[in-house]
Amino acid sequence: MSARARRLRKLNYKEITAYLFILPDLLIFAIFIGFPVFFAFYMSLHRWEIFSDPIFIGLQNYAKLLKDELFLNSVKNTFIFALGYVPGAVFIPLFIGLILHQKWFRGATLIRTIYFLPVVTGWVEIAVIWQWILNPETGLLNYFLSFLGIPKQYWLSSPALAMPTVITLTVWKVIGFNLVIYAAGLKGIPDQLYEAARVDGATGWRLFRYVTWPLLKSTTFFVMVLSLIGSFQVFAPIYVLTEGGPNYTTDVMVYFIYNNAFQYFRMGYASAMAYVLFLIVFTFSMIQWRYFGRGIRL
Amino acid sequence: MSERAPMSFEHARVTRRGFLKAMGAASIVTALGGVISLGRQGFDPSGDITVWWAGGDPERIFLEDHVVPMVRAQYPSIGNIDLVNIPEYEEKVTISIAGDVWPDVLKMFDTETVSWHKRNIPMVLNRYIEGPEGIDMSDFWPGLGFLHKDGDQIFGIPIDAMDFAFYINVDVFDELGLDIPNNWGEMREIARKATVRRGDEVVRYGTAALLTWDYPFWAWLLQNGGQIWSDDKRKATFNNEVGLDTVQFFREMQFEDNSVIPPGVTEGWQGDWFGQQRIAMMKCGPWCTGHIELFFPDVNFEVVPLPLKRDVSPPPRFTNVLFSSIWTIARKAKNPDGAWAFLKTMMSPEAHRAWTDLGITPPGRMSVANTYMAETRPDWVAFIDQMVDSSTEYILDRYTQVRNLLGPEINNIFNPQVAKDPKRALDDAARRIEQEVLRFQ
Repeated sequence: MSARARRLRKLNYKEITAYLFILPDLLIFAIFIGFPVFFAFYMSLHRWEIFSDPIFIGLQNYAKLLKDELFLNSVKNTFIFALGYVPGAVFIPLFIGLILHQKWFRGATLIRTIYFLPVVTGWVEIAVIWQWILNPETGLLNYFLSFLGIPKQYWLSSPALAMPTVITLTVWKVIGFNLVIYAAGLKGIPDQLYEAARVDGATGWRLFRYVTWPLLKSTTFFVMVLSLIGSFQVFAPIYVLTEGGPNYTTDVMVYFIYNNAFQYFRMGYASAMAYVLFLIVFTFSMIQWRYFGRGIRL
Repeated sequence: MSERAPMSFEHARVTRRGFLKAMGAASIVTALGGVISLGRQGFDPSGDITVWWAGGDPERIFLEDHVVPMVRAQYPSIGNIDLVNIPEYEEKVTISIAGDVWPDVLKMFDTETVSWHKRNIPMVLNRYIEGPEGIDMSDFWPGLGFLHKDGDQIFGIPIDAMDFAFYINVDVFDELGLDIPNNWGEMREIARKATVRRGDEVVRYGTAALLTWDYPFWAWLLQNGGQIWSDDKRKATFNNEVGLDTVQFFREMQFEDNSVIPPGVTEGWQGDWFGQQRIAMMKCGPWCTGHIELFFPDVNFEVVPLPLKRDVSPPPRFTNVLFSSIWTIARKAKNPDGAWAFLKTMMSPEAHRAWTDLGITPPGRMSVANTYMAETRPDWVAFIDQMVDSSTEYILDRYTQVRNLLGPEINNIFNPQVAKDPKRALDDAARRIEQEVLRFQ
């Protein structure tokens, strides 16, 4: 046996071992993600109301989506949510992370833990508490705002305020998670770089602009991608806080898909929506990767 | 060890006589049994049953502490009775059954009964109801028919019967010298008088929002002489002039009189505001009674019939809506006889009296409601009195979608932050319901 053949044999053995290790995960992925993804596409080409046999209708579900005013409204609302949520979910944790990272700051771990509490709290509990706080008549928020002369606000029942309120609560809930990621990113920046920059005369903003920000690029990109995908998948806060109202102003895509799939059991139509959502998320992730992810190794 | 005596002819003869006696006795017992069981042959409830349901503690107590012991006493051969309380009930049950996982006994909520029947989920119960182990269905509210009957087919049995009535804070009414509202005009006037303002703040509203979802809308609309769907159920008619007139009346109560607590203010359940005495009267179903008694024991309240429109000509056929939870046997029940034993026991007058005692809702059996309940829960008589004029004709296949498409538009009309033009709101709801629901009827 030649040396090359022996090397190949050795490599194959290693590869086989590696594949055996990932096989369980691969199987789970194939059964619970891979198969549903393809099956959902198959369903999207059918009229299927769970109890009846699927009827092949080609692209009719997709054509109907383009004329469905409530679906188009949910797409618009999803983009509004993403526009409000992504900057908040990226920059607020970054800002807090920078403060907590300062050497003079005491109790950073405790603060991070406090910020993390909403992350581990379920949306239902959060919704109950915030509904009390946001109650227009008896809520704490309006009570405190009244001292500033701000009139009673209808946080969840006003079409103008409902979406900003939901965005704010969702950002508040995710801050702790993204803060931990930024804390790790900030700890990974060597002190020598700051020292060198200070020797060169950099302080405050310049230190951030030329040292912290470039070295946090990977972290920020990661947080941004996660936030964007999360924003297009928003469901729980809508489900428990507004149910898509008032006047459909918080009716987002996943909530609309949920209603069609699990309230009306129009599986084909809901699958077509899910594929449109997938295309949107995929497109925006690719755009992010193309324009913001250059040179980044995650 | 003693030696066994050889069998003698004498002994054998005696035994033969005994045998003949035994045979004779057995024949008599069998004949009597046959008469008693009236042809029970073939009905075998032995074996386990699974019961799928959803509900709160009172219903759990009813099932665990009343129905199950009754079933065991009456049908000793029945096996394990597995009561499975399922959250997000309709979704999970539908998906399970679509995946061919079936229970034996199944609870159905009013919005789903017709849809589930159209999809062959409940068994048609006629063979049990009309068989030797049957029950008399004439004792159940006929008005509930659309929820559990399809022509001659009976696909479920109602455990209860609900409609709307008015909850009155007696202390407020006494203090202001107010009479019980008898018609819409009086209702509006009383709501105005009972509203108390302190500066810009409303300390007490005359009434809670009276038209917040589909069922109350149907009740007021029917009173006003309106019709919800066309006769063939292919077209929405709730958005015609009568529908608009109905909505306008309640809109004026809210926007002009400011005597109605607007939606979005309580953010929660308006029954709590009634309990806190911040609402003088409200429309609600019987489920409010238990809640108020439990959480607000100091409130002195009375349940009275819904005020009627009165000046409608010709008089409307119905003045209220009726709804119920229907119980049935699943079409692919593994032990249908056991399931029927459970269902029959649950629907017995004795069980309906237990249901009444628990104070959940009025029972589905008229005889129990009109006698036992009238004595033990006189505060619920208002609900019972209205049931003969109440309808379930609003119910359709895919009704959940009707509720989800109409509800937001009703909110748009009454939510002061939206205040959508009622005509536009009703038309939008009607158009969507026609596209998504009525074309499939």
